[in-house]
Amino acid sequence: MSWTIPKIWEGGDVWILGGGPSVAKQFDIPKVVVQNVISGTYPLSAYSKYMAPIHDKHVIGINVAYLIGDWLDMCFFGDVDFFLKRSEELAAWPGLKITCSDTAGKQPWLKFIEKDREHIRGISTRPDRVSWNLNSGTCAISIAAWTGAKRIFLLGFDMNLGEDKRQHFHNAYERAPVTDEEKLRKWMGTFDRHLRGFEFIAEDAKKLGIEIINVSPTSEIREFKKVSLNEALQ
Amino acid sequence: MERKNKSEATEVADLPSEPVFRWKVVGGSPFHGNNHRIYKPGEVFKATEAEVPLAFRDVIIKVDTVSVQEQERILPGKVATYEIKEREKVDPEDDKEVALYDVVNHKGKVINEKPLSKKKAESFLKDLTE
Repeated sequence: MSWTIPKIWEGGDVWILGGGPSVAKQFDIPKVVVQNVISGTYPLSAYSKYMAPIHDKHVIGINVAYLIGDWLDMCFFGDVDFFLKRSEELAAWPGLKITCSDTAGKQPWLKFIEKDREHIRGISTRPDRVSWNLNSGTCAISIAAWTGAKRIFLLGFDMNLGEDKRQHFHNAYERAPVTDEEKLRKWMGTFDRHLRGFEFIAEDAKKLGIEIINVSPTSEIREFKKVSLNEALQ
Repeated sequence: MERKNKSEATEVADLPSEPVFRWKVVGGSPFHGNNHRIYKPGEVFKATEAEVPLAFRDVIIKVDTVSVQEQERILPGKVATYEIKEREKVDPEDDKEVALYDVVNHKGKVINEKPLSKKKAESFLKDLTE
């Protein structure tokens, strides 16, 4: 049965922590720490103290973001492959774990929310559904919206590669920098697909009276106001 | 057209005892399953090894090495825990002051946005834990 998202954050701010490389820059995480996390010398939780400004906020972590700390309120993922690779450590994480993967959703310690088949793109029209938008991060916007958020802050929604040609601010998926032309084209295609939902999300957010703020100044997303983390926290 | 998510694979048969895997049609032609269903190029479906003839394995590829039964095996895991805490009164001597509550997580972090009535806090607790 599909979980119904409770309006726990009505009128508040909700932060969604994606995986884009801009996160490290926005939180002023020293390069040496980032390098050590990427090389696997430090765990992802080495970033936690730098993220103190959002520890007391309402935060939804996408995919491996939950490994940063248990101050995140929710972990959301949509991909069954992610679950298959991470099930043990995910099972041990004490926070609220939510998925729209029907395979993973069979676990009793996960909240399962069905994908909205009638509203695939944008923000779901039902509190017990999520609009997939072909991406876990954009899918989580439906969750944030149905918790009653008035403002949604997007972190790490870059939809492009970082200066070091990496897709994420970590290397949890063990992917090398994208230097090969063919791989680069493939990734650009993936980012293009991920970008398609934002037009619909912006339209739905406007109807719902939700302001979405993109805390990634270098993001490819054009639909929302872009600010730095410092500006967002003011 | 939206591509079907991998997790939404079509089922060929209802829970056969043999391991079931997810398969993807990577060739340019549809695949005719032995259940009389036709799978379009790009479509992901569930079937046993026996249901996908070896001769088709260049155009029908296995998506995972782990069977669907194994993927759906119930694992032990932590369920998020919450409790209700009463907020400190502004004036502890004031009996008329309405009591307000929070729902807090395992770390004591307040989950709700606004202070809650006991009834609302209990309702959120139920929503988060059931």
